[in-house]
Amino acid sequence: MVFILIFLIGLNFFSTNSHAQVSNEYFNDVSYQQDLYNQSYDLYLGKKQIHSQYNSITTEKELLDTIKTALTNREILLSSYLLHLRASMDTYKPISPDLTGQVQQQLLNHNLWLTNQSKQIDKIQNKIQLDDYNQTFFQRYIQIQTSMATSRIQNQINHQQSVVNQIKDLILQLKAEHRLDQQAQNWISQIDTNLQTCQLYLAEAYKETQTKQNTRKFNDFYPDAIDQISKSKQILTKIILDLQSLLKKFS
Amino acid sequence: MQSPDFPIINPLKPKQDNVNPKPTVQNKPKLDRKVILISIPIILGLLSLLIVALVNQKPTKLTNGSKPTPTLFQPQNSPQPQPNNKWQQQLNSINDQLNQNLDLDLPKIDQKITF
Repeated sequence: MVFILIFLIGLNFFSTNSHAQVSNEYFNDVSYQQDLYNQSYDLYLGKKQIHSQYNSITTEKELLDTIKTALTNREILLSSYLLHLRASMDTYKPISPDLTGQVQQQLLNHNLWLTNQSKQIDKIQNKIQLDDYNQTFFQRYIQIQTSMATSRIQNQINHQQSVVNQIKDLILQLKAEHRLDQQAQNWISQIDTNLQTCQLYLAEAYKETQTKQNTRKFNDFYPDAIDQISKSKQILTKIILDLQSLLKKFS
Repeated sequence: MQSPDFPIINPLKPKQDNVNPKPTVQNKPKLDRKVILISIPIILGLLSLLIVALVNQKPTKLTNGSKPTPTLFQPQNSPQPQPNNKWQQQLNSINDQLNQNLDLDLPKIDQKITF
């Protein structure tokens, strides 16, 4: 029995660690890809300047080559970032498995699209083909941005909801193990009210992710959503301080 | 000629008797008095060091840097009451989790790379 218990605790520990490890590896990959993209983008800017000065067939070809390299590196960078987002959502996925799963699926779809799109870059031979590629990318990138912002917000909603759940559990345990006087009961009742307010803010943050998108421009809901999450965090911080005072009462 | 009345000993057979004599009270090794005499002052020295260390232990850091004022019910040198450790640890863990930074910075890209 004790062996099984130790085994399960160990399993949980290694599973949590592996999530963190995978997430860390994705983070390193994103940083590496960002560096590669920056280098190729700088090269592109340099060639663009040269082409604007000389405007020859040679400079145009050189510029097109650097554009194709920069586009390829950009798509790889976006792919690695989407993978990172997808992996980072695994930690708190059990809090809201359906919603999180849906967002992860969207990220995966964008990833596949970017991989296929990258294969088209080699075929670009002139400005018209490049403009077509850019147009297709631009339209899809609105959806990609929406999914990226939704993922970042949903992950933080899950994270805070997990904290809310743990605080509720702690209060239940406190109630079970201690006889609470009237003052303590009042405090706990106040904490319950504050927890409900947190959940309202989290629900508001989720609503922001459902903002309708314009076909021409990404309607960035992230700042408003993160504002709701920050308000919820402030209340959670206060609740933890209140609980510390309450614990001193029982010591 | 009659053989003497000695037991016949097979040289190949190992001796059965007295191979592992059982320890008796008499043949148990006695503690060397010298060892005892040396170890007692060492133990006493270590104990005194421990007591000195405990007495000289620095008080926990206070917000205003002053000693806590004793209350009527609390003798001056008694330790401060500690909150229930189990709950406190659980709460600290929740607090650490809350303060984790999960946000991932967006990659910096140019959406329109063209001529």
